[in-house]
Amino acid sequence: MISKKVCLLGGFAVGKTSLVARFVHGVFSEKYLTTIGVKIDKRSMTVDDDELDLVIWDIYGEDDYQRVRMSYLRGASGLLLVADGTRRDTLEVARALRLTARDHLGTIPSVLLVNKVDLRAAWEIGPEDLDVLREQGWRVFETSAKTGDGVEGAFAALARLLHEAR
Amino acid sequence: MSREFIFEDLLAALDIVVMERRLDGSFLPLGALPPWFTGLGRDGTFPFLGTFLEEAAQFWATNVHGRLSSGLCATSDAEGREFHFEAIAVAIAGRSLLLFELPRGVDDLRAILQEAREERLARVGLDRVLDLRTQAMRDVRADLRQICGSLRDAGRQEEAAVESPRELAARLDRLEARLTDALAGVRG
Repeated sequence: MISKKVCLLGGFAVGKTSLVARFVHGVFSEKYLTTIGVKIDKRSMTVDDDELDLVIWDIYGEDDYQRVRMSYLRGASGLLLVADGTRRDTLEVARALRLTARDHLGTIPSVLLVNKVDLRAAWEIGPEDLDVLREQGWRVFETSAKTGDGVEGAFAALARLLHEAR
Repeated sequence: MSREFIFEDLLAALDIVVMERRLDGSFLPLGALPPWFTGLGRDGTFPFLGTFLEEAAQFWATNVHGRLSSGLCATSDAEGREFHFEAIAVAIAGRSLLLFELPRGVDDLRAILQEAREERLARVGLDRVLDLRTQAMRDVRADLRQICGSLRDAGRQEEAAVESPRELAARLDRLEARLTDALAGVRG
């Protein structure tokens, strides 16, 4: 069994905790409850017949009140950056966190989850924005913690990247 | 009452666990371990402690005095109730101590952050509504301006029979002015 630490990073209320709840426990709650500190969960995945244990660190959201404490990232093998499609500024937060994480960890596998695709009509982030990111080498997934759309695929993509990077 | 007894009692009352790191790297608890501490790791908290202990080992190796905090970690008790704890590496005169505590005020901190963030989300929603309404008023104003222009033209062309269209044009002008004022109010 291979165990890999992955960290969720993003602005506040983008749905990080909900994504973990969906991926690990298959549940969703409409109620927003801000995360304090870090919460750790686990789920095993199979990649090319190998069992991979994802140890998921759900780290509190970054905003003007709280900056993410980079010591939480120590030993991380992968990053799940999360933005909220209905709030353009959260994409900038994800971008900035990716750069900061790179300063501390070097380049490690990462994927970007643009969440709340169930609210597509209210999205401020357009397809052209995501195309630009893809051209820059980002692996972008549109997800909904509410419906589950794209969630499994995003985590599986990171698991595959981690497996390839062994 | 001995000093040790008071010390242990005090730590228990404050929900603080103190351990001393021995030369072989193992930890010796100084006092009894409370139930909340013995349950740690049940829900996957061990990776958190493992990561922090690596940091702490470096800290103890390079500091004679001082402290290093792990930051907060959320975990659950046997009944599934969430609580937060924090580990603190302390160096005192070359002795390496590891403290675990249940920080006071986490619920208050969460309540404050929750309220601030919910207000911010609500403001984002209000800004969006305001933008949509402002745009709608702009569109109405443009339409009215066009109608007024057409009516003025019609009035010039048919002067004898234009009393009614002129009145209408005047009314629309007044309506446009009111809308302009309203728009200024929304912006303000």
